[in-house]
Amino acid sequence: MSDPTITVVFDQPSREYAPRMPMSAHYAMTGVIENLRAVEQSVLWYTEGKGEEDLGVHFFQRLAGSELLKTDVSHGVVTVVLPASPLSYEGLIVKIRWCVRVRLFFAGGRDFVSEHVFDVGHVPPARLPGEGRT
Amino acid sequence: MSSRPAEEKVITRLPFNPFATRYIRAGRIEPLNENGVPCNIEEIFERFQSLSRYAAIEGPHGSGKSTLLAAIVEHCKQEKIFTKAFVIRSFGDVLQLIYGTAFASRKAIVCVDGWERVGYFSGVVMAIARFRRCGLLVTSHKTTRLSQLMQCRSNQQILNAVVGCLPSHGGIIQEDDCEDAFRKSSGNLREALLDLYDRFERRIRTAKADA
Repeated sequence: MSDPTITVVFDQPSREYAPRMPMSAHYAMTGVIENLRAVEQSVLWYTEGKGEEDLGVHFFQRLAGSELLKTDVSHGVVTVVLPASPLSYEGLIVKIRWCVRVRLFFAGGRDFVSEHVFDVGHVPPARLPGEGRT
Repeated sequence: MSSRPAEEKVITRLPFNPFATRYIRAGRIEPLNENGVPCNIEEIFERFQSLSRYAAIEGPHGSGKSTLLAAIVEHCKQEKIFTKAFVIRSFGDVLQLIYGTAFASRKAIVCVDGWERVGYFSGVVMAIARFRRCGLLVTSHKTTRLSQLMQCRSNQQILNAVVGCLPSHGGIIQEDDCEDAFRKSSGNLREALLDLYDRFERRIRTAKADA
């Protein structure tokens, strides 16, 4: 079975947001979305790097059952006010990323996840040790 | 199945590091055999069944034991075979394993990653599993008292194949890097991939600074 495609358009084309700023993202699905059992939309941050991963969910919505039938799930909008922290960070051994995640659950237990990263804050990427010293 | 963020175009940030834990952890990478070809999980699972559902995946650190176990657990999930998976890191995990095995159903398979850390309690867990008639599949870098389902080994070919399966590194990592990382990590694939993580981070930052 071929995977669906999920495209997300952010209200800020640069995908850069300040803390406590409203963020809105419009998503659209194309491709095979038959036998859909549930759709989950979330806005979350996660850590990425060499060690254990951590994550925090800022917004979560699940559409399933009769609610799913009533709604046109092929597209939707996620609107949230972003929190003050954590800020997006490009560290050497750990990074913090914010993303809009759309997860589709199909009959038979198959699922499909699509993540669309955006930035919160303007923390510059970490430098290599010794870099930039005079 | 997931679309990977590595494929996204992030305007202001550095490229995604395809060697981060997120992409290389057990369950994300397909288990590969010594030729770097995906293992036939169905065949391995049939062999597990023929071993009365009591077996161990053995091999040195970073040879793909956890990856293989994760693939078998996923296979069971698809076949609607109930599994109880445990990762042993501390004594608390051992207690959870004992408790979980004691209440496992007859058809269930108890999967244990890090069996060598169960220590003296391994006999207890085996006895409970036999009494409950549930399956037991473990990973260990030491020889166990269970039948050997598979002996995992690593080689350069597997590392190259794993790197090929990860999201694109955009040509930042060369074949020499893989060889060097494999040699430095003494054949531990996990360590080799984390070495490549560091190389990737250094290079993208150096390239950015140069630009």
